[in-house]
Amino acid sequence: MNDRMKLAALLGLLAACSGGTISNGDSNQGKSGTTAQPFGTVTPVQIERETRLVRLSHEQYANTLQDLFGDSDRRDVSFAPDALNGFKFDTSSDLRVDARSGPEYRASAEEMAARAANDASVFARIVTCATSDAACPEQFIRSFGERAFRHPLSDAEVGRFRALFDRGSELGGGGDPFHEGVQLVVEAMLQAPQFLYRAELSEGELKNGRSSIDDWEMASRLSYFLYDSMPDAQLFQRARAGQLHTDDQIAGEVTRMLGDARVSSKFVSFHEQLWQFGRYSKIAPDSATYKNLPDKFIDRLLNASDAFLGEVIDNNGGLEEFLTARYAFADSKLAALYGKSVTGDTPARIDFDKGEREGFLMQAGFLASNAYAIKTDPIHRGLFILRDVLCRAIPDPPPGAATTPPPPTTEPIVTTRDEVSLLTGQQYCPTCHGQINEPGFSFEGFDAIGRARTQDNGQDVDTTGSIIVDGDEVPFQDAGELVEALAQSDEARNCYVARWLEFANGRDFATVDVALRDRLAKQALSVKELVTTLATSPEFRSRVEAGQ
Amino acid sequence: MSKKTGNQTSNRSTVSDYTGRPMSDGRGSPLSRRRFLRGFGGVVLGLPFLETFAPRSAQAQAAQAIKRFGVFFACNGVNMDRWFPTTSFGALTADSLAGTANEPLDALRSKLLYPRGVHMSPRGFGRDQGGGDDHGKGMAHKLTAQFADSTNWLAQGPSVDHVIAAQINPGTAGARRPPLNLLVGRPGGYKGLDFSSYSEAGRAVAGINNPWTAYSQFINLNNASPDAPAANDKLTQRRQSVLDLVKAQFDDLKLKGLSSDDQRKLDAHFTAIRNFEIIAGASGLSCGDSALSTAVQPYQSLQKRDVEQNDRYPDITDLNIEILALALACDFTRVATLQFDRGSGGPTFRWDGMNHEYNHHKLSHGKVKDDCFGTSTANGCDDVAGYEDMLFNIDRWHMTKYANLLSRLDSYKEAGGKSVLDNSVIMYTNELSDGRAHSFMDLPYILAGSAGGYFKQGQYILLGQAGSTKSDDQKAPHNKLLNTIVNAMGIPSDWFGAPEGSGGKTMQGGVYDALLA
Repeated sequence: MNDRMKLAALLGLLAACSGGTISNGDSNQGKSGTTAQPFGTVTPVQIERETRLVRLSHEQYANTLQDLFGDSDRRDVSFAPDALNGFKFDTSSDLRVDARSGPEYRASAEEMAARAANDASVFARIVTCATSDAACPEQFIRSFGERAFRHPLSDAEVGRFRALFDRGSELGGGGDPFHEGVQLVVEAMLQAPQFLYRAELSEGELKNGRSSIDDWEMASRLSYFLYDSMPDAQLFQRARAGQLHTDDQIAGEVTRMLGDARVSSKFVSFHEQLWQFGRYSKIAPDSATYKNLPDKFIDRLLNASDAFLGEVIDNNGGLEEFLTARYAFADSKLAALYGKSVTGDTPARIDFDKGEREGFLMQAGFLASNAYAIKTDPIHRGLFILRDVLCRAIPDPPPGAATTPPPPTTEPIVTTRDEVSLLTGQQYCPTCHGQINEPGFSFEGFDAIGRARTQDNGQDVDTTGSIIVDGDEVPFQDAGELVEALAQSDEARNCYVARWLEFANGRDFATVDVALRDRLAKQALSVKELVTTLATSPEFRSRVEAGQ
Repeated sequence: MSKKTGNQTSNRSTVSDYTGRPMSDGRGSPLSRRRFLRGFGGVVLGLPFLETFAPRSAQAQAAQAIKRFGVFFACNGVNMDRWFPTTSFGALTADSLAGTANEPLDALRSKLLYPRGVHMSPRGFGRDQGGGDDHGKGMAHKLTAQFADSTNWLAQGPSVDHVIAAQINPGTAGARRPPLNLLVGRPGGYKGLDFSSYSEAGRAVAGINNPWTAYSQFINLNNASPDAPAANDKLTQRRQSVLDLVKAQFDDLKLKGLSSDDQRKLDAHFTAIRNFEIIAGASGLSCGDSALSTAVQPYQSLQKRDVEQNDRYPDITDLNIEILALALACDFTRVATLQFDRGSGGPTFRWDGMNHEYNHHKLSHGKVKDDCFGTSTANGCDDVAGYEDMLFNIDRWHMTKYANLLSRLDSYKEAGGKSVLDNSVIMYTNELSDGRAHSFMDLPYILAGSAGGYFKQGQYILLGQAGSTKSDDQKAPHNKLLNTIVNAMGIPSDWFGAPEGSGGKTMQGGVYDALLA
């Protein structure tokens, strides 16, 4: 926190907008000048202990079943959806098994167990010993159990599963006793908490409030973080050999894992959630205003945005590249919006000249998903910069604000910028909108479907403004200058890294994460570098047990 | 739910101890041990079958019929000018619903009760504090009567469906089945706007919008044939043996130094599976229906975004209504909700004679967009021509579906010549009243079914103040209506929702006596 922000916090100005009571000054400043103090960044939460039991997400559960049984077909599970209750990512560590999902897990376990016993190819993959061999049941229980629980079974566990195995004929459908035993054991293992949760039960050394995890637990952390699935054979082998706890050992595995295609899709998924591509589903331009819109507009935009994310990640880019890359992806229909030419329905890379467009904020997906049917939405474009790029704590408008009619005016209202300035220039609005609007206005050079424009309603667009970044007021002529300022800022990098930590930890950014955030945000890292550093950090191989 | 009486203890028999075998079905049900339906799929074949299983013993006959509670939750308000009965308060007549959006309900009007003049409480428009914009409050408050938090707009207490299910649903005290919460439409992912049901403070329950998943909820319970008791018993024995082992696995975890949060997580998990084991094993519940099973089959392999496509909305509506009706009738659950998309959302109605260009939310404001500037009509901001008629048609469409649900429930006969509908109360409720103004006042409500003789029927009753004005919202708070329903389910309760004195200035305790039979 810089000195100016500290001062503002001391004066209580930052809280002035919350709860609908606004007391900060500048109430007549609507149209120009970012004179209000900037809102602070989101305050890290306090945590005392992290959970030792992270339930697999439905996606992870499906992936894990696929890997555990070596199925080539992805078996989609159709479970009742989880509510994330305010957490931003699908990696929440707070998912539960409730009375609704309990029977779903059982039904799925019974179905999968029947398949394991009755499908010869699946059976052969999980039972590698000769079924006539007296040692085979225990061998199966130990080897399959280790993979299912991602941890070796205790002798007590082996004993109880062996006892159940031996009741296969009694409890089963009258088939071969070995197959009946396998089915019963699989059915039970898939309902055990050791399978359904990523369980961290080892009692590691407690140091600086953190308890270290063991090599098996580390294998799972790495694989669910990067693959969204269970550990692969090599991770298991490393865990078994006790070779998964030094910087070099972990860095070596992360480097290897980064070559897996699943990692790219996990990284893409992070950015989709971070930058809320889900909002694309709301894109609905007015067809009378925007004639000849591409069919399947939303799908095309999603495909293009994903292709862009993939390109940046593969080319070892990071936040700076996402914000300032002078390229985008477009299929033939989308390319026309950019004034470019592409053949076919597959998104292909298109390059821009300097001053044309930079980064994802100037691509059609972001622009169109922050627009209304007939015009742009500078407020939400600006709000995105503050909340989602800079992690600023901007409160919601007070109740009834959206329906407050604008004051009478004799000034002509021509452009969207005029309109927004007047509407948000009233009463208490400028406390927040004095900061939100101008970053949003910088994108007025792009219309509601993302085409470049120089005029709005017959008048030249005004894309100028300023924003306070890292404590300094930075003026900009247009969105290009804005995103370059953002790309170079500590604040944007801090924000981006904090979100990565939330994604990795499955919980809100906390005070115990600040030190790691600071280390990771100290320099501009590519996504791959950032993730490698994160995964090899002491924090990633320990659990908060006595936080403050 | 009760500030005086505390939790009600059930006098239903306890099924078993922690690990023991089931002793009885534990539901105090007047129906026989093996309960099932056949012949569904559009033709009402279910009637005689439930009758077949009507209780035979004198003791069972003395038992109360099962009561059920259903919620039909529409969003974005209604066309207030053409929704309510047009006749004066009192008995509904042949003229009452004619020409209104409720006309499709006319054949059922003798089983309807229209409470009028109810406002949401805690209130909107900033009159009571709490998080959420007008839509956020409409979603978070409507079934909970709780405030929402200001960060995520999540209700700070359980919803009425979960509160009731925790008392009356199949299961044992402390471990009853949750309500069946269904959804039609596409979650928007913005704060609490997607949710109306809550299991506890801050924990929303996402509605199931895939009919295959919804149907699987009760098919999952038992895949043995209800006609083959031996096979059923064997399945029960198998599941119990597996459960015994799984319990040992749970116990292993509990030996470790878990936090109290983790401990609760595990306890809730085991309670959930323990309970279901017993029910499935003991009752042989089967709600299977071959026609419905076939109809939901295509949804098994559909990706989420295909399920959520606009043009699937009417098909999913019909399927989820059939599933909900079946689930209530076969006593899979005694509490179920069906939510139609979400506040500040909604489909674009392009079926059943409608071919709208804009989605429900946009039409609810009369304009195509949310930020049209004041009263200016410049720049395409004039009202959509005929939007009032479009809203009327949307309302009427919803009421057609509501009527289908009620008719289906009314077609299942139970003991004493009563239908499942008669023994239920199926509430129509809406996130808002006048969508254009985001109003929380003069809400559209219908209570269908008397809940076993608890409610008046065929009546239009003024509780508060009709009319969506901004000054007359003190008379009939909706938290009291929810409390009335809790009582109708046989659960004594003095108060429902945010605690008295916590800022809901118009909230009231007690029940609406004017609604009682």
